[in-house]
Amino acid sequence: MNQQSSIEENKLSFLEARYKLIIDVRELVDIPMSSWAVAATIESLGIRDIDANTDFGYDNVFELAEFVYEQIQLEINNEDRSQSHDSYTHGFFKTIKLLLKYYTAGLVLSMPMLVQIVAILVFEYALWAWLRFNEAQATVVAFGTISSFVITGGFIQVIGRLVSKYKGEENYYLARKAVYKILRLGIPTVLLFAIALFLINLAFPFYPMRMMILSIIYMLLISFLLLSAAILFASELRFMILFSITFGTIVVILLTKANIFGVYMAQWVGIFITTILMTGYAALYYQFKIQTLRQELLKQTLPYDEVSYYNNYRYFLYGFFYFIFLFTDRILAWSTGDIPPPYIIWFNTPYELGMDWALISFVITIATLEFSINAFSQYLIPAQKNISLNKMKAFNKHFNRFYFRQLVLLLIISVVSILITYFGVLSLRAFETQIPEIRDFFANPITFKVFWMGSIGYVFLVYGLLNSLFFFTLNRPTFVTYSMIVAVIVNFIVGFICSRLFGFEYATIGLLAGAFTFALITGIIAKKFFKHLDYYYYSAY
Amino acid sequence: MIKKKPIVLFETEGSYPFSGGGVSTWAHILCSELETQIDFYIYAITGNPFVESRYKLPDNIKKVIHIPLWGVEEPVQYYNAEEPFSYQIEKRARTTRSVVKEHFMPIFRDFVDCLFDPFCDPQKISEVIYGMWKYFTRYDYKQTMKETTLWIDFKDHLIDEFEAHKDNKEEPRVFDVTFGMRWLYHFMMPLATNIPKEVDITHATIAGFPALASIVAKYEYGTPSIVTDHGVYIRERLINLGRADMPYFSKQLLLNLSTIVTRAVYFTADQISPVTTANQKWEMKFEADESKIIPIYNGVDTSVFKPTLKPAHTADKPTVVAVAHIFPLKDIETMIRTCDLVRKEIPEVQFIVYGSLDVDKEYVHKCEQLIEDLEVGDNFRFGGFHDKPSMVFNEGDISILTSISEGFPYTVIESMSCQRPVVATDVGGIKDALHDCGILCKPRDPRAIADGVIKLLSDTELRLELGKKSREKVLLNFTTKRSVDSYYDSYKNLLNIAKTPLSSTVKIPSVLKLLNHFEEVHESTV
Repeated sequence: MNQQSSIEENKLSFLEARYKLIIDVRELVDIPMSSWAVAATIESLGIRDIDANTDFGYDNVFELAEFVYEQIQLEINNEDRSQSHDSYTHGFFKTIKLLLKYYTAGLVLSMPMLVQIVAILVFEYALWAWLRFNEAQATVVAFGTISSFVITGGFIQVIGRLVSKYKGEENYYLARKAVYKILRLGIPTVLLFAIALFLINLAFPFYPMRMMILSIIYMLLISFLLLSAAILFASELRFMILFSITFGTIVVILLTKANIFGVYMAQWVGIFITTILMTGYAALYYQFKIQTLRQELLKQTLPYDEVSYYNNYRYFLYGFFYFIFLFTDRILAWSTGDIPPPYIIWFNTPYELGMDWALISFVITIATLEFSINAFSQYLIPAQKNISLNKMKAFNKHFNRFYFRQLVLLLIISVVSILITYFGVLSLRAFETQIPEIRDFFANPITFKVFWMGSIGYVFLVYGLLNSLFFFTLNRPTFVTYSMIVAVIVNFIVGFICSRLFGFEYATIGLLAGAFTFALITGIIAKKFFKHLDYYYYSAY
Repeated sequence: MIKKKPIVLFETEGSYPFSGGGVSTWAHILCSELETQIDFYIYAITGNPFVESRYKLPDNIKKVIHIPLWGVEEPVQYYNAEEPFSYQIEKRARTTRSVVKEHFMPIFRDFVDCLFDPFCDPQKISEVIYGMWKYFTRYDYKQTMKETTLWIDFKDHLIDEFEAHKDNKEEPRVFDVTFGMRWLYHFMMPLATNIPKEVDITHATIAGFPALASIVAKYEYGTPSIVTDHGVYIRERLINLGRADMPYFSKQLLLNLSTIVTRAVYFTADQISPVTTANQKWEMKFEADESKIIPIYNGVDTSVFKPTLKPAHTADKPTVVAVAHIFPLKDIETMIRTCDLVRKEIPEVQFIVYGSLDVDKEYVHKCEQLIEDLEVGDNFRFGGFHDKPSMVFNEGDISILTSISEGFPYTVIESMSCQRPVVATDVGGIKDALHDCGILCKPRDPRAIADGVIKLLSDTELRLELGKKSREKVLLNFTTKRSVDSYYDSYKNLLNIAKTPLSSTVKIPSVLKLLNHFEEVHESTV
């Protein structure tokens, strides 16, 4: 009897111990993957083979694990775990919050340009503009400006890519190293280009040498400014860009108003100071980060040169061709006319005013992209975690709908921005009797034509850029680069024909056609992209 | 004529020479001690590319092949550094969709079959692994893995597999597929590396992904292989993945991947050397042939870890020393409770635990709270980092280890070498060390451990006797020289095995077809 009750007691204590073990195991792993996983978990609780025997009544841990695993399977089968996951919602208010946050951030990016516009209107001077420039002077500055954007465009794009990549990994050491490497190529390239321009103009005097030298100086200074701005932009230190440009502009205003320097020297000093501020800040920022994180102690190198070139050449090409695209219409328009221009390319004020007017709407619209791309990045993983595998199409459809909503948003904002820009500027007509410059602004119908054609062209361009951002996010630069190259060709051909056949201002149709092409090609690719987003996400390495 | 030294391809993961830790220390000692007899190529898998050697490498380490699985766009520049990148571009150009479909897809399908049947024939797994490596000798890894048809195939297979096995568990998600395939891309990257032909032996320090090189070398060149199990890789994966905050099916996929690799490694190995007999049962469950298992224990330098008198600051107090990083597997909470029980008998006892407080700060806080709750602050303290590790155990009268999981810990044999007997939990291979010269206890049993500690602290004669026995046992069985000599003997035995490539035994049609294709390519080139 005693022996029997002892056996019964033993069995009871084994049962209690086993069921307690089941609870302990489930607390650690919830749904174990196999009895092996249970065995490993049991051992990690300090239970040995001998304990499996003395405390649980099994010969060894593996046999105990099989029992525990079976019991857990039974428990799971009785639990209500079935859930169908075929959709994922972001939440309306969350979306609105994101929209406000990122659209505002996008608008902040345009603040430097706004500062320039205000400075011109109020003080007549900006960093590289003056309300009273004559056409020769405007040509000098425009030529220098366009050259600087084109020659640095590729380097800016690569800086943006590499700095974002390394900074995203919190690797400030390699981010800085990458910048140095790019600048070691970029700066000599800019200098060589300057020398080339000089020599070409010496051999074939497209412009009087004095004009060319002035242009080259502007080209050099603005190039260095753009490179330093690119570092800050990619490092998300954009407030410093605004501060530096504002400061530099103030310097220009003070130097000119105080008659210390003429307009050229004052602007060169202003641009130089702006560049120094931005470069200095970037240098200090990275030095501080590297020292704080002690990253200089770890041996790290960038990829070999040939690997770097291979990884980045598409981005370089995209940057280069993007700025060629942006300025092609101006080159075409300024190199023709009913009255031939005095030199190969000659600034045309009504045309430029129209394009600048259109640029305001472009800047207001492009801010949307900050929201679109950030929302896309934020939703990608949660959506994957929430949508069932056998509803894979639902995942792709979900992002198709997301993409469509971005298009609608873009369309609404672009229409609104064009209207605001048009009527906003038009309202200045109220002052045209007091301010002759305003009267002159509205005097020429070419300005209006260029505004409308340019604004519509920019809408297509922003749509193409939206698609490009999605492609860049998932590491598909080829889609963007080759689309842009085709767009440049279309821009040039159409713009050339239209500007020569119909009038110089119709060079803008080239921009419109090129932008439409860019939008069309990237749009077709985007359709395929979102249809197979699962694949593009997986292979974005 | 100078006789050429044998070359060992020494395969590591997250350890030597780029990280510290017990395995790295062991590896460094082994390579350094065999400086005049063996040359080594280190085949090191790391998590990221920005690592540098923590050790001054001895002259017999002739090459370091570094494979960063993550963090770099073109990892090939690291692991195939001798080839110019333009060669990789050539490979990439050669890797067309039709090549992938015709030569890789069939092997990949076989691979995915193995992935979803991880306990299938290990020969099949090994052949598939070899086939994949062979393919990548001519064609580009990244380009191949990005192929859309591969993705579609994998996805469809996964959907069918998950649907068939989901029961009432979690619903498989899109995440499981996208991340699953990404993990495959990263973890199988060693299959894209060249294996030097001149290697005489491959030595894997873990039965995991680095040992893919051993499997491949066996098939391609007939290179004999040895695996050292410091812990049991698959067991650790089971524990870590089980607790990972990850969807169920993602965990399952990763586990299956680890399982097929481990089984293939054990299957093809010529010798399996765990550092303790305690690992054997797990190895045999995962395809290790018992006849190939030859345990080789870790060793200590007995001239460094030698007994001295206690230093002044502990001389007059009964002192219990522990060396352990403060994290849950070391079960410091049990140690604290043990201290509480011991001080009730021996009020002046001191417990000093030397080890990092940075591994698990939350756990450190938990322990500190327990010390406060039990009011043992006067008897228990954390010593942090000790600048003279060889002197740690000499500070105590005995040492203690309360881990709930271990392999064959160095701390136990170091303490024994210093003639300080050990009270430890009977986990892993500790029994192999302490049998007859220490006190073994059940894990998580502070009473039993406390009784062991009290016994040794109170009985000086017993303590001294066990201390002496401990030192003798180490001198006989657990010296560095003995461990290194055992490995050297193993290498010599392996060198005597005829190098017969297993490629001639391949049966799987997909791999056979690839091998035929390569023969045709080779003939056309000649």
